[in-house]
Amino acid sequence: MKAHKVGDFVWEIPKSGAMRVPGRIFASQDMIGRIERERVAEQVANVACLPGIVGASLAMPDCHWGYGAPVGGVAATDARTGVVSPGLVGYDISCGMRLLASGLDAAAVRPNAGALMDALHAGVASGVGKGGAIRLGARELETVLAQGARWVVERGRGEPKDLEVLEDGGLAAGADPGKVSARALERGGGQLGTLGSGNHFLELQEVDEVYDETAAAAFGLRRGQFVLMIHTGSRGLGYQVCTDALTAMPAAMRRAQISLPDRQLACAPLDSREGRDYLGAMAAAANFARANRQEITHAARKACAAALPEDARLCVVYDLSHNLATMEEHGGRKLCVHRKGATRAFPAGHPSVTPAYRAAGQPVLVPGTMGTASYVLVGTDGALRDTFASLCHGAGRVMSRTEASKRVRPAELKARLDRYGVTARTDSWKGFAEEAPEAYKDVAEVVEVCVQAGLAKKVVRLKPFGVLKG
Amino acid sequence: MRSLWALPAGKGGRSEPFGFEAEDRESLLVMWLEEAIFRLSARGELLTEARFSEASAKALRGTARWRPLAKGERPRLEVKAATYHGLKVLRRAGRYSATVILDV
Repeated sequence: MKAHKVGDFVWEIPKSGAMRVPGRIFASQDMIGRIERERVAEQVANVACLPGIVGASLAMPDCHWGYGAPVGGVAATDARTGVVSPGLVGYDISCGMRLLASGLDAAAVRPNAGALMDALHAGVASGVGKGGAIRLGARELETVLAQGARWVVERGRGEPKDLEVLEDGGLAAGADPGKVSARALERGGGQLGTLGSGNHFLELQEVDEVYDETAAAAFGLRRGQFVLMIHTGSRGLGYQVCTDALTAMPAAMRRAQISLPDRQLACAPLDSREGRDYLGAMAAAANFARANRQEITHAARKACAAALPEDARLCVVYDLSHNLATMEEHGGRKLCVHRKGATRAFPAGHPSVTPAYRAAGQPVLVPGTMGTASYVLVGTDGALRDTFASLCHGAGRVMSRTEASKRVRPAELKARLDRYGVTARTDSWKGFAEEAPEAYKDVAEVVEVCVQAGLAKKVVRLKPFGVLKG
Repeated sequence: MRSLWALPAGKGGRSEPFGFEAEDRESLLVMWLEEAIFRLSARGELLTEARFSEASAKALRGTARWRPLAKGERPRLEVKAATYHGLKVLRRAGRYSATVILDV
């Protein structure tokens, strides 16, 4: 399927067939060919068939092929007439990023990077099948699902001020633990405080470029500073919530006479029992993800205390989800905004931005790869107008894990990272190679498209010098 | 699935009956795979053998053997879910073939 250029960095798929709105892809000339070949444009068009979708079915510049909906996809549905689609949120509900800023310079940490990475590797459960130090029963887990990051902080594993800067205060609205299945609870019971595997990571980084001094200062960031980035989500609990919903939704689709081109896009009217149940369970899973990142924050603080001669004074900069559906108001309409591999990006002055950052805008954490860089951005009024206040969520894959594992030799990658000055730790070097920089788009180009399209402003760039992968 | 996880069939474990009902074969396949994914990730039990007594368009029944993972034994990769994307189940000459994409 071809997309037509309608702006310097915007491509449109005109409304046709069962599409209810056009598709719109934000990409450079160099990116669009691959996006079309990978059938992402077709997936964007399929999403445009969802009942109640408004504006356009969108894809961010880091978009790539996904199950049903593309990763990097954004779709807003009318709160009154629209649907919610678990496939447009993804299996890893509230997968997201957290950034911690230190009082130390990176130069002071680098000499101890090996010891710190060892302490993080020992203190943060990572990798396939590794459970956390905490085993929760169903009742206690339900409390986590209701309270999110607050549950962890109230048990002394965090500071009250951590909560002040989290997206939604670390608590997803509308969580209903009673809608989370026994299977999901069982799957998540031993996984709080675990990083997981795949592209989840923990990185030591240095603020190596400041583009917007005012916004950086508002976020507590400065050149040369040591920061720590966490990428993980709701683990098995979230996967099971998505699976359960995909099983339940076809009944609602039959009742509402909804047919879609891809079963993975299964949906339910927002006012149906299945729709409400999913939203309640999804928000509960989002709270699990936020609690998970809070537990890992605590483990990271302990590791720093053990491995560094000085107090790292790690403060939370922000915590966000890039796989979620949230009820938001845009242009006077109440909408359910689905973001699957896309980040909410409310601009400066938006009432939903936490007061501490309202003048600067909500921080948008965009991870790159272990061999390149990550970015902190803020959204613009252009994003609020054109993308339901959404931006990219990372670099975006260009190579499947299978292809990457065939092309990248773990020993060569490790040697390359050594040359870059990146200290790496993992339980699986094979899995590590699947996340090699060449498996991803150039994050700098992805970010530049967001900027050139008028959706984002760059705040800082972060260079990695330590990485832990599951 | 076992080869995907790179785990040996091993010995021991216990056999249990299973049964699923759904609207079509594709859903049955996803339910069956989800059972294997759930048991491994939540309970550390590996599916090592399955015998089907019924494999119709609306039901799947049989007996499966589940082996507990040994201490320190872990799958090579994490399978999050069996997806419906591009899912196909075909029956030819009395045999089934299927295409299913797993989220890993």
